[in-house]
Amino acid sequence: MSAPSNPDDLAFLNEIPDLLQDAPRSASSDVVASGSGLEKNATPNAPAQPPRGVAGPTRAQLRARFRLSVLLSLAWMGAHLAVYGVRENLSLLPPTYVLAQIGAPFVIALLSMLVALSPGRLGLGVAVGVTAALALAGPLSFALAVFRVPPPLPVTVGSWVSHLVCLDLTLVWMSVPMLLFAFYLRRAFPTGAGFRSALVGGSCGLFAGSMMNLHCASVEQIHMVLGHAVPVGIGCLVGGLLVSRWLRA
Amino acid sequence: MPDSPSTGVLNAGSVSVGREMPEGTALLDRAMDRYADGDDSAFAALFSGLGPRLVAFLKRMGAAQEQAHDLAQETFMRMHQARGHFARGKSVVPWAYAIARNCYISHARSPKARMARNALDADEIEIAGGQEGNAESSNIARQMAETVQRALDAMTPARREAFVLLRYEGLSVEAAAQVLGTTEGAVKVRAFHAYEAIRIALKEGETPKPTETVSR
Repeated sequence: MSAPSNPDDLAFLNEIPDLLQDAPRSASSDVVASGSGLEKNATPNAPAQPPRGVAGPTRAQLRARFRLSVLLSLAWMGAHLAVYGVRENLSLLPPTYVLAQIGAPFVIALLSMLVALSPGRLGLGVAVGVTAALALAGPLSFALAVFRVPPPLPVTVGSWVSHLVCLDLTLVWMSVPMLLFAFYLRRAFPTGAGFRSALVGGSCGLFAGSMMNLHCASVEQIHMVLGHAVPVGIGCLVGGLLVSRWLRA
Repeated sequence: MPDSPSTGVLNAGSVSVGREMPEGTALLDRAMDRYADGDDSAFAALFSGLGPRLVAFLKRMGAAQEQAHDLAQETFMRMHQARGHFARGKSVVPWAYAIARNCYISHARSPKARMARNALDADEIEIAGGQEGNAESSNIARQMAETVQRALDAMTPARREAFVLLRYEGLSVEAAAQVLGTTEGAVKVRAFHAYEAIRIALKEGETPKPTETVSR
């Protein structure tokens, strides 16, 4: 056995002997399903039934859950926006500012959610590099937009309390969609669960952040970063570190 | 190295591991589609087709015999809970391997149930034709298999799983990269290093020092 000349051509792997070549034959007689679950040492031809009591939702049930999650999330955001109101100075803002602060986060939120839910070519999601890049780019783009697009109106310096109020509100607005999608996506990600969950969290955060930008009249950069952008990052982190445990298959 | 015969996945007694069987995997994919749509009767076909492959995969990953069976059961439980999320028209084999890998990692990481390394018994190693061939060639094949197993045990899990998926489970580089949650280049490099370690072990009768860590 000699060293391969071209590591990209993986045919050389076949030089290694298969030590369990016949193992499946013996294994199949050891593990079969029974009516109450999976049992060992039964006959290979025993009638197999799925485990009872832990039934996962079917596709039809999941479609219903998805519609419910989207509708309730929109209703949740819409209700809050209706109660708190749209910012009074919206008509005074230039279109580029509105696009950067409200339109772009909304589009990136949709894109993040689409990528997170996409089955990809093999049914295991989009490539890890893409999900990782987008999970990072979402919150960053939100924060960068604050600094890259200068305030179009005279800045009124807000208090720390006002920063905190917006932070709290954005977190609350984001939390319900995140919970709803976590319920819908339970055990959905066999691979890349961390990044895909971060995308889901970031998407909910971006959605809530854009809604907050639509509500809050402040154009102060520090306020927008602390009150509006930080929750997007928190959503991404919570998604990637906590919700991913729930979403991993 | 002789290839094992490809005789169809759905016949549980004649599953070939390490080679893709397009007609067999297509049947499994269709069974999984029906199962995801709520047809519980498809579970039997899935179980008989995937069960042996998952057990073999888990054993190659380093699980002992009993643990491999337990983890295969857990894999089916998780597949059952996640079935609705299986994308229509996609391949079930990489999906199942990804879930089995998650089960293996969860188990290996738990302090209570630390995975015992798969000290493969000599009786467990079955070389094709070994029982029918002469005793000497059978003995050589067995020793070679033991050397491979020791080398696999000694290498990092990241290298081992890349090698196992490509060499023994017959996945494409793209599918293996998706299962492992990494890039195709990384999978190739890991498999190459694993191959090198095994090649050296076979050549010199040496195995690398154990460097056991579990990484996702």
